[in-house]
Amino acid sequence: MTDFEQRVCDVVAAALGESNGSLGMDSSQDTVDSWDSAGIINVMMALESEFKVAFQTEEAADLLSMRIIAEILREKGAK
Amino acid sequence: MATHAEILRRAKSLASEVEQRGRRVALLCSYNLDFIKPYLIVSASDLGAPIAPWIAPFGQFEQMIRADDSALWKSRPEALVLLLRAADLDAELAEGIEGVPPARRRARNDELLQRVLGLAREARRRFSGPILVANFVHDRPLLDLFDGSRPDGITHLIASLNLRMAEALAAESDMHVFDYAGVANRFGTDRFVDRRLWALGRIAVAPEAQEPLASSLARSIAGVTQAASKCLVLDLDNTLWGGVLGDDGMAALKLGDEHPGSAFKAFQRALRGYRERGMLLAIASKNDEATVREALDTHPDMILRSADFAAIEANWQAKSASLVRIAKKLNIGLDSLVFFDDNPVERAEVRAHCPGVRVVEMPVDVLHYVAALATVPLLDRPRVLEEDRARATMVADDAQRERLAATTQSIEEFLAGLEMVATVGQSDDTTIERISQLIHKTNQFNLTTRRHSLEDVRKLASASDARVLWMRLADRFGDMGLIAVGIVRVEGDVGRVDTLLMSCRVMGRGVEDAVLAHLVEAARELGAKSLLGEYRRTAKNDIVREYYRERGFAELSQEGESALYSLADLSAAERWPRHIARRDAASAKE
Repeated sequence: MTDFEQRVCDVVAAALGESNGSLGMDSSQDTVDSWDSAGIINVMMALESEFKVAFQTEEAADLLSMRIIAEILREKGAK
Repeated sequence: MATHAEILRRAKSLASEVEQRGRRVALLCSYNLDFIKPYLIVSASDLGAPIAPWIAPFGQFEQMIRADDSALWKSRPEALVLLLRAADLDAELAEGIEGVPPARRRARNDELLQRVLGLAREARRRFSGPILVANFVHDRPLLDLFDGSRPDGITHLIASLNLRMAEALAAESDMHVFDYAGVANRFGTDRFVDRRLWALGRIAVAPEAQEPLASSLARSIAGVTQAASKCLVLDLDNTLWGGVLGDDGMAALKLGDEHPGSAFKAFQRALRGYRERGMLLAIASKNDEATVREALDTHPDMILRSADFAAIEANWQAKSASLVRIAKKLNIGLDSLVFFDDNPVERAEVRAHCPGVRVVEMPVDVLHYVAALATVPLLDRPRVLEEDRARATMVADDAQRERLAATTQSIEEFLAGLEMVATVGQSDDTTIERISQLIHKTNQFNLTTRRHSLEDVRKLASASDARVLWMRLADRFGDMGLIAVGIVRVEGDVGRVDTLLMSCRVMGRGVEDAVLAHLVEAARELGAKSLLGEYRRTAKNDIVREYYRERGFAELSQEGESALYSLADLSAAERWPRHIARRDAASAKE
């Protein structure tokens, strides 16, 4: 896992109230119970303040797995 | 500023501590407030006033408040916060009051206000603690540039709504405005709501606004649940004025209408505002006292004069020693002092030797002094009573009393010379707020330290087997206001002193005997033949440990740090001291 991916995993874990290091790049809505609709909003807010990016409203619905999140962040120029 | 993830992590790590030590605060909200919770936990904890928030599912305020067995009441809150947005309460207001024809706006606003006040009053029927009610804000872009020109425009309608809310809540017991509008205005109303979060989860507070909202909430909750600081202790050189008085002389001080003198003057004005709200001011300065008094009283641009200070410690000793003397002189704990000094070395010295004192980190630039004051939480007072306003004057009277003490020979002569008049009475609408205030803030001369809520006091006052008694004291130097409270309950022919407390300012004048005489009399009237007195030890009330024993009570039992005493025969009991004249106020209960 790259440093960037590690950071993404840590931030998403914190946003979902999961312990540090408990999530990996394969984690998704299907594997994590707390990844519900309220969780997604927390993930969005956490990613925005961590990576200084902004999501469109409709992008929130895409924040469903670690891989997609990492991809969207890269598209937005986050490192 | 901490990131959202950091706040969530910190809140999580604080969770168990907050569950145990935090004050239980229930929040009822018309929108989704769950996202504020971690911010609130962190802010309150940083403030030193931890909160365990209980947040009702959003929109469920009516059901929660009105059902006696709702989850809200089961959460046993110690404070209640109502956060209701106009737009969520009223469909016609949903897209803003601009959607309502001007002719109907006032009526609409009246309905809204009555609904919110009605809910707060409904909550009061089931809950006796403090209730905070958020005021209203227009948290969306204002489309009409000239709205402020129109008396029926949104700007003035909301202002008048908030004014009427403040007036209505001020008339209720222990209800206060939570200045939601103030938070939004300082943050910027255009950015206060993030439309995305609203659309996604009915969250009406933008991510960046959550921290300011939570910290203001935490501070407001602390303001209505904790005792405020009592005294601001100030340095002089480069704090109240620019320059060094001892070196430069009075004429060279920077204090006037040009910068930087004007900034020091502004700071003094701000301090005078605190004094008017009942805060005591004191000086701890390394200077000669005579020079200091001369500067204070003769400098033409001085806002604060020597009479404005309850204590002036100008000497060459450590500041910590001065602070200890100030606390002793004013009869308050060190933890009631807030220390303001531009010199970091002095601040460190005070921190090291007076751990209870709150030391304000002062900015280097005098232009920011006033703003630094605004960040000190324990200066907040939800309500200013007449007694608070008068206190500064009363302390000045104390100085005169001390001078009298120095000129008379015996303590008897001194006491007789004071020409004290004590007025006694029973709790009624005009005294109950002050009684409650004393119950909550008196630490030293307080035998049981039972912090009854205002509502409990009300119940006791109207119970047939109890009396809530008070005493006011005046002497030839001034009126000290309501200074003592006693609560006595009688079961069969045994009376019991539930509460007995007195302002420390009047100690040692025989008033403590008069208060007991008054209590004994009330117990007798309720049919008591004997009286039980209780001492419950706290960190601060050592001063009254021997109170009952010194007054002829026999010790019945001692349990840990508490003791129970009994006075077997009330017929021969406590006499009213001869040097205090007695007046009876008309009783409210009869």
